[in-house]
Amino acid sequence: MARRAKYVESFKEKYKDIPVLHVDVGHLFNEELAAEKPETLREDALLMNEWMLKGFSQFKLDVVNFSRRDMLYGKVVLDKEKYQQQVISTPILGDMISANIVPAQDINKITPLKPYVIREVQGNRLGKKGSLKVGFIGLTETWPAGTTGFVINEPLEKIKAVVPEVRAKADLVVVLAYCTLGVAKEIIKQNPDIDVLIAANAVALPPPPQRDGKTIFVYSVNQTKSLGELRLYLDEEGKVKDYLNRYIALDKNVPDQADAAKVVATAKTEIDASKAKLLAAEEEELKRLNELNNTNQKSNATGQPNKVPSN
Amino acid sequence: MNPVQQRFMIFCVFVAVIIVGVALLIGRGLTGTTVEVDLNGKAKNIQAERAATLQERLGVDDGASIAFIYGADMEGSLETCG
Repeated sequence: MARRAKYVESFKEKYKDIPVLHVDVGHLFNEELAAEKPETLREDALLMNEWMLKGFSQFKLDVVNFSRRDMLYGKVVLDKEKYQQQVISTPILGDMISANIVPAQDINKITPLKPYVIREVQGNRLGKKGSLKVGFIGLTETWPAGTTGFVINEPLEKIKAVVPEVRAKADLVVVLAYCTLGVAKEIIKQNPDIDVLIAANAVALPPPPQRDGKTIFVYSVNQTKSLGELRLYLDEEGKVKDYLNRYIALDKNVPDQADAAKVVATAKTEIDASKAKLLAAEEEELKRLNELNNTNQKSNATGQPNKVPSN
Repeated sequence: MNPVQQRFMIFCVFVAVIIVGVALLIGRGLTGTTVEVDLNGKAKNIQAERAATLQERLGVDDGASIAFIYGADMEGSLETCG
């Protein structure tokens, strides 16, 4: 996060005439499961995710796509009883969107996400109006939602209904889609009115950027090892006449943003302590089971009844 | 200096110029110093140029109207990957 924050900050400093919107396409949260409780996140995963919300509330993302891989933590953090308090402490939660992940009606314990948000930017290169309304729609591919408390609606059906609504309110329609290349291409084929589609699906080598009809299509790099930068060139009417997509390697030549680095260091200390505690508990449990096993082996040898492991 | 020596001197100067030119090109490649715009006048794509400094990575003002900076798959980690 510290290098990502540094690049965004430096871009804004260097290009004061170019409005920039910083977005995440999904899978912001960790989804490592607790061994003993199916479909429940590990304690350290919960802590890591809490720090993601804190970190990106301070070094702010403009919008975040809530993906199928974020649902396990969504179940925790979008719980109706805690949501309002959580948004106050970590406002980025309120900027998460999904048009096709909805709360399961039979559970009715989850706060629904906004399907889209509109962000307005000002600038002297945005055509005659001098401002631009950018509508972001969140989308994810279908996936078994299990007991997360969510249902994933068919993305191709949902996007068809949402695009016209957003088009009526925005100058530029941008879809953030966590999905395979095949689904992304189908979205574009069936919805030619989308201006930009930014996709992600944990790919290390993204396919080349392309323009299909009016839609510009780019892919994120896994774990944001390279940061995507999409520049648009608009005409006097504010329509996209050209684009440029670049990937900025976030290696050691990009320094840390100092304040963000402090947040990362504090988070790391807490998370490492949590991992160490979990590891110690796991080792203790293993030791106990081994001792029990040894006792039972001795009992078998002497013909006495076995002891049963207790939790 | 006889004509043979003169021709040899010219040849030496020519070789020296070639060597310096090649050295400069290799040096530029190694240090990551790059031409900042592509053939269309847009900020160059520096995906492969990992030695570039932050300022070089930021590119140049090529007249862009708006930019989206995007990432994904952070997997709950604020720490640097790779």
